[in-house]
Amino acid sequence: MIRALHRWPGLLALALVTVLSLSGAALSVFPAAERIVAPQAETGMTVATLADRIQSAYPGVEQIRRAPSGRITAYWFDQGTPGAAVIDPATGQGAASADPNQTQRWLTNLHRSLYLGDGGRIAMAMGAAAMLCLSFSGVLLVARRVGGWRNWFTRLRGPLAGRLHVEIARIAVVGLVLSSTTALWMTASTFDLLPGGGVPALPVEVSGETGFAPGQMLVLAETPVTELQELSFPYPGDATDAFTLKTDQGTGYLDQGTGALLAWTDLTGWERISQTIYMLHTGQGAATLGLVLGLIALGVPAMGVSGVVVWLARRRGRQRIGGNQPAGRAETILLVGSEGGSTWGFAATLHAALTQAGQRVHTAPMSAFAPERYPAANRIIVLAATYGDGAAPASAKGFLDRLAAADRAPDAPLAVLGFGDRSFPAYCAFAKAVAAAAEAKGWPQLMAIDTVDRQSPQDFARWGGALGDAIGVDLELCHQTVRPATETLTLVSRRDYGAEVQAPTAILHFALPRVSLWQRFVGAGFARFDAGDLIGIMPEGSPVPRLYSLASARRDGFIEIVVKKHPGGLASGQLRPSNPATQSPPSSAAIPASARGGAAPR
Amino acid sequence: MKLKSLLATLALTTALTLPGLAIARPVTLTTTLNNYGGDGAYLAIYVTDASGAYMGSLWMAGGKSKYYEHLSDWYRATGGDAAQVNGITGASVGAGRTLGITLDLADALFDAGYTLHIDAAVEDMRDSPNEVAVPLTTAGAGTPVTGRRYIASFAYDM
Repeated sequence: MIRALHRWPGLLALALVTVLSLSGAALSVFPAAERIVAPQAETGMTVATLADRIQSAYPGVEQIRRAPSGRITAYWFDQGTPGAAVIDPATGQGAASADPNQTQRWLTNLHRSLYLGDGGRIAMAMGAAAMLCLSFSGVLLVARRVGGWRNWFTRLRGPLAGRLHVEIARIAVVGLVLSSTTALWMTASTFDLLPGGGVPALPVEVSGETGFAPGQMLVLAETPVTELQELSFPYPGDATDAFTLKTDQGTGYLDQGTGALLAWTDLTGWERISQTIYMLHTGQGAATLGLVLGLIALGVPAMGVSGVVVWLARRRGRQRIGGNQPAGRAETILLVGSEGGSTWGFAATLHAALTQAGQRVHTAPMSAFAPERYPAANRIIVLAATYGDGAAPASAKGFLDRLAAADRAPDAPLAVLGFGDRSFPAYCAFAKAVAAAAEAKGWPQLMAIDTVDRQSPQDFARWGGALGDAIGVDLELCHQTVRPATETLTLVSRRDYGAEVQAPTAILHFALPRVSLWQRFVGAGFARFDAGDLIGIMPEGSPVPRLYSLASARRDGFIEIVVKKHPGGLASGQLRPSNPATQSPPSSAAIPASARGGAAPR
Repeated sequence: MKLKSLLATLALTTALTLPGLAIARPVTLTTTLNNYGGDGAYLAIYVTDASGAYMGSLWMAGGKSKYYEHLSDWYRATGGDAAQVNGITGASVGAGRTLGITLDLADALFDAGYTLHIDAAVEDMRDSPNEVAVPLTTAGAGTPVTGRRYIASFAYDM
């Protein structure tokens, strides 16, 4: 459910959020550049001093504006010709052109409306909304993946694309939420959806005199330049006009004949919030924050690409469950805890068999466990692999926490089937943990916990028969193990020892096969492995891979395993022919894509 | 060139027909902007009487009322009342573009001391109140005038 809320907005809005983030990142540079370039007023300088200096340099001055970056612009008329310049506050003289930066203007229009007017603004706002939706669903997904909020910055495992995606996301999410929320606020403000303040009405009563120098005005002498937003001079020759002063605090009018404050309105709460939001979004007045947000925005295209890669890989890897029923209507809820995907294959077989027996079945990952959503359920079946030393596999993250947090166990009775490999000490440990937690919670039992060793179709069929008996249908589970993609390795060298102590053992070195660019990118196949990871070897005559611990890492440049001959062992016999004279490379050695990070393909 | 033909007499009932002016004629207002190198300009076109008192608005180019405060003379005269331009509001005008509007103006507005004003404002550029101020006279019709900052030429034709 959450993943769907993440996937579809992500795929649909991919182009939009990419344009938004790239243009936003580019725009973030401008406030910082302006902050560095713009001549700053000395500390403690007042608006009166500034206005005085500018007026002596440009007697026809009409308006003085100060950007949050500290850049001061003056607009004047000189003998009917309009002029404008960025002002050096130390002298009041023009220091640079005040013409708007065309690149910035182009980027701004692209960023906020794609050059499509109001329709474009709405489209971009929807892009921001999608970003917000992606952030929140992403946060929940990350929390689930790392196993809770405490582990937010824990070390990640798994293929590169997914790791990269989460690695960027868990840092970037704060900035992305900030940028998209403020974007939505600004759009709402543009469309007049928020209460504004407005300017106070010009008072009717003015002194009727003119000529009071702004440098002498008390209010201006009390206003530091750092608070100034805008000072407009009265229209020349119009005695009814007045000075208009806008600061961070509010707006007011000053009499041009006496310098007295005629009227003053403080900013409303909404306006203050809007100004702060504008600053947070644009970085104007908070240039460093702007740069940080810009840098974070650059993560969006990277997450877009890695997200698509994760999605494609998942689509390929996931067994299609045909005819999955909605959770609310299903009689049988089938929950799957799988690391590499092979347990999904068993789930698909079980799903199909139960459906054929006339059942309505809902299959979902264990992590989606939500008992309140199963009103029609008569039974809940859990198929659980184990990750590492008894930890929850990827698709079962959070299951135990959620069960523990529920006020009571579901009424529908539970059957647990564990998948594992008896050669590991923690055989089906997670399934056992689930069964124990269920018992502790008082969850009624449909069947006692059972296990399937090394993906044995026989174990599975036997359990299926028992399940059929328990629910009163005839159930025949015929599971065809999907043969994992394999690769042939070439033996480079071997060293034998231990024959004299009746424990014949061989150290085998294989050459690294070629790794495609794609595999390198997603970390699949032999692109990434460490000593201690497992390699699956497919012996001839069995569909089930035998797992060996690797004694080398990718950077060693070879693949090393240690094989101990087991009497009658299929794989060890083939890997280590007892007669060295007939020694030959193993006919086929495979590494299942999932056999990494200590995870056995279960 | 955009030509907006509308029954401005209906929209202008507030002020411009008050003096009991019954006869009206179509007047075309043509405003051409210069290439000032900025985003679309907001323009407020309105009329004041001989004493400078606001009489009514003829057209507002620019749809977002939150920016009207930058048309500062119009804003002061109307108190920022967006209802003054209800139904006579259009899109902002891009640099170098021409805005053409045709409306029915009362005959009595001409040669009676009334003045037509245009306030202009552009994002991140100077506000230009009173960009254009031309007396409404029959003799002055068809004579283009230049604005202070953004308007390359403005003329009213009868």
